[in-house]
Amino acid sequence: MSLNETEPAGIEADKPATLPMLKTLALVFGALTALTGLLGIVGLYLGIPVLISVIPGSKPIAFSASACWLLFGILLMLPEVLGIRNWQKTVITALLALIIFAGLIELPLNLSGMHSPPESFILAVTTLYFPETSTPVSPVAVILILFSATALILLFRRGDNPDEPYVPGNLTGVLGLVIALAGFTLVLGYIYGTPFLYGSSFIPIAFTSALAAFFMGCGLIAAAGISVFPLRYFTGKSIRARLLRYFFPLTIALVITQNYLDWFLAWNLGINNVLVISISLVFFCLITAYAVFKAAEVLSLRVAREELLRKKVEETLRISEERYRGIFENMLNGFAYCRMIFVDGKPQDFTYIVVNRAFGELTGLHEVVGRNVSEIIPGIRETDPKLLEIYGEVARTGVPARFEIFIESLRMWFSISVYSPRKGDFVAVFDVITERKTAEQDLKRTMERLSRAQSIAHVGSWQYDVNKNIIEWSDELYRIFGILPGQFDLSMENIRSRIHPDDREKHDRIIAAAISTGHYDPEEYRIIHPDGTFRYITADGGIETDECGGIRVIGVVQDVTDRRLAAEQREVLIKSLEQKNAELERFTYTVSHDLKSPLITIRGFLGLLEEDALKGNIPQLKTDIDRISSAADKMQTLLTDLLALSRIGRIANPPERIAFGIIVLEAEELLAGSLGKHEVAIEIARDLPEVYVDRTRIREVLVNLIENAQKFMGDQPEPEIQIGMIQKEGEPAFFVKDNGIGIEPQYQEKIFGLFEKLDARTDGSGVGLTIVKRIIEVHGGRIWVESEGKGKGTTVFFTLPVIGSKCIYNPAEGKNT
Amino acid sequence: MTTLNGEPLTILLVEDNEAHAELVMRGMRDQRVANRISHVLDGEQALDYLYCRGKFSDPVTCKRPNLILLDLRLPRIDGLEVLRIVKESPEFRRIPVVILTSSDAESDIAKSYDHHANSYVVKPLDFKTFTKLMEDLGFYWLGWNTTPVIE
Repeated sequence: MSLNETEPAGIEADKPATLPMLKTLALVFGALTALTGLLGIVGLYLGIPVLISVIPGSKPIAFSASACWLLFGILLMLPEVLGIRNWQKTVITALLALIIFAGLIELPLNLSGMHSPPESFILAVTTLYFPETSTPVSPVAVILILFSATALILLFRRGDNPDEPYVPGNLTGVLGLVIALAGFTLVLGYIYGTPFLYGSSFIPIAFTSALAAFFMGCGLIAAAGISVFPLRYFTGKSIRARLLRYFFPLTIALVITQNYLDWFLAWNLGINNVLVISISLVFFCLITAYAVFKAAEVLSLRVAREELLRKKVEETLRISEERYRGIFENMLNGFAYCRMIFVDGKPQDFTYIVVNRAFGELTGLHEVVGRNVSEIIPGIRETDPKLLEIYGEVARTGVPARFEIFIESLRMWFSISVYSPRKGDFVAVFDVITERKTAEQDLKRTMERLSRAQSIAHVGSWQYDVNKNIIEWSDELYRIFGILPGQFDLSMENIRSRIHPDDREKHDRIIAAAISTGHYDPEEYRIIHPDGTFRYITADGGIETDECGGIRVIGVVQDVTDRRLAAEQREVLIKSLEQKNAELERFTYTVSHDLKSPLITIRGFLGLLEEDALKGNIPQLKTDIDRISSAADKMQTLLTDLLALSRIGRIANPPERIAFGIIVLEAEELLAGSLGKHEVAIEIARDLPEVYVDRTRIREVLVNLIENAQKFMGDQPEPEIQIGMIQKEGEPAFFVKDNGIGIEPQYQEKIFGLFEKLDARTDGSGVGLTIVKRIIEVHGGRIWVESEGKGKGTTVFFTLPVIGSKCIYNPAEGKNT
Repeated sequence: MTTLNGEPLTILLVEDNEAHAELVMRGMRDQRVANRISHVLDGEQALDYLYCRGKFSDPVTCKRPNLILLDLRLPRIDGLEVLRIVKESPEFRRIPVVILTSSDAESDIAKSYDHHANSYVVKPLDFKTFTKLMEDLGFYWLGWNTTPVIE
């Protein structure tokens, strides 16, 4: 696009500057005029008639006319050869005015047979020295000289600029044409011997003078240039100009040829003059007419076509230019056509050549055309070297570029597209995008902050476009689900498959309810990670609808697994602490109560002992002392048992893998003495499994249970104890079963309590079963009693970690894993 | 003092610790506040005594007590449970029940009163105090204290 170039080109087409050829012609004709004048003077001086009259016997040229033609010829050449200054113009104009003045006086006098004083003086002088050739100037010559002088003045008064409107310039051409035609006519008169044409009846003009006038006229036409009459009609693309250019030379050539032929035929062949001329005239007229007719036909077609084409092109150009100019001026983007200034091959600065309106509006820079950027934005070279570098590169290589840049000196963001229409120039089309850029940066920062906030809080967000069925997740949500963004296709079905099967229906229900009612119920779900582990999440959300009826469900998801696990753990801990606390309370209460009892006994009977001693009641003394002694024993037993109880759980032997039957046999062995005494039959099952337990403790349990069974046999004639294992509620349970007195259902739980005894009179502290229960519990098992009632025997069941079952005893934690 | 309307006064002592029972009985007997003290070893026996069942089914030995001295921690049926049954029974609920125990735990005291115990006495460690207490208890509950007519 080179809008600035099409304009001057158009102007040039309409107003062609003075052609060099015309300048040469003006010079040549000027020289011929001057030469003719010079020859006249020389001829007069030397007395050579041929130089002053050319045609023998004809009128010789007057001295004043010769001098005038010599001067005019030189003046015609002068500007083209030397160039003249203003003051010289003034002098020349004054000289010419003087000649005109003299001519104007001479003309009327000359017509009445007299002469003006200058002419009289010159005539007197020349007649005195050259009486043979001296002759007065003719009135026609005076008129031609007056015309020539006027035309010359007009020519000299013309301004230096040929493009300037110049009305008198037209007159130069007109006068030139008149002079040339008059000269030509006079010459023809001489050539054809027609005295009427050169004024032989009056004072004839000399042939030399006529020739000089012809040359002068031609020279004046050439000097006036093609922008004025008559050459103006020969230039341009108009049909008239073209026809003139083609036929004017043709016509002249035909006339000359015809004349030559006439002359040749008449003189050389001696054919009748009038007849020859008539025949050849008709013949040439026919030829000319035909040639003109044909040429005009061809030419008019061509011209018409060209004209049409030209008009079309012009119209297209005009429309196109209007369109482009409109776009150029009204486009929202800034436009700048610039020329890069390179110093040592490096871009140093650039000049604005054309900019549009948007340029000023966008940048706030005005009046930039023709100025350098360093002048408009001082310091741009230092603050924004990158910009100059890119522009320089584009202007140098012609490779277009597109970029976004922050221009420090204007504090603005630009989006620039730059190309080079020609080497060294570049065009920048740009838009100011500061707002967009700022918004982009703000958005980016906001998104980063949001993402960070999400990752810190373990909160992910999502949205579901119901109509388009598009789901979007935030990065954190992918992390919560334990999957990478690229590896998961976000469809409802896929997401559903990641939710715990038990929670899927709940999820479907909530989403459906959200879409239909617009209310999202916050809920907690379990989700499944790719490794199969569960995570707990809470989901909350809302509904967004737009004016087009689009529905979007948006929501946040928080991973609450840690919190949830912590809460669960805390609850377990609290429960176990509460249990321990209650146990401890019970324990201290029991201990304080039961330890106080023997103390009361001891002190009470010591008091009684004292009384009895004072009374001298000897048999009573014995019972008192027995009471004191047995209370002390009881206290000792209590303390020992308590110590044993407290040791369980604190001091543990490492668990070992051992057949349960072996432990039973060991227990039986320990009790061999007492069992035999009571004649109790013990039956041990054969297929007892291996267990993973603290062997010593479990033996203690068995000893305790067997002793107990034996103790509460009552009056059973055939006491029997069975030890074995059966499946109870899906887990293996060991049992010690007797056929003794049995326990009523209401006491079956009570017997495991600390210091609990069902019979106040039986031996023991009531700690045994408490210890048993504690040992089983430390092994992660349970213990309970079943009995159908009094006299129906008792069975104690307990569970233990069995090899092959899932429960493995872990002594360090005291519970199953 | 020893009789009410010519009837001998009976105390039901519920005490699993035989030594303690002997201390109580000797203390009471020396003061002669009671005509008769029936001692049972646990809660079950206490109820059997009251309802004249089991080994107390003999109507000669079975006699409605004028005062119940009740220990709290008892084998088989706990003292508090015995208290509850007695106080909920229309037949026995007017019999004064004095809790005599070695426990001075707050919860025991509160629960006892919740179950309408008439008095709560902690067994003193000191022998002289113990003897004095037994004397005072007898005097108070069987002497000064007025009981409703038994229907």
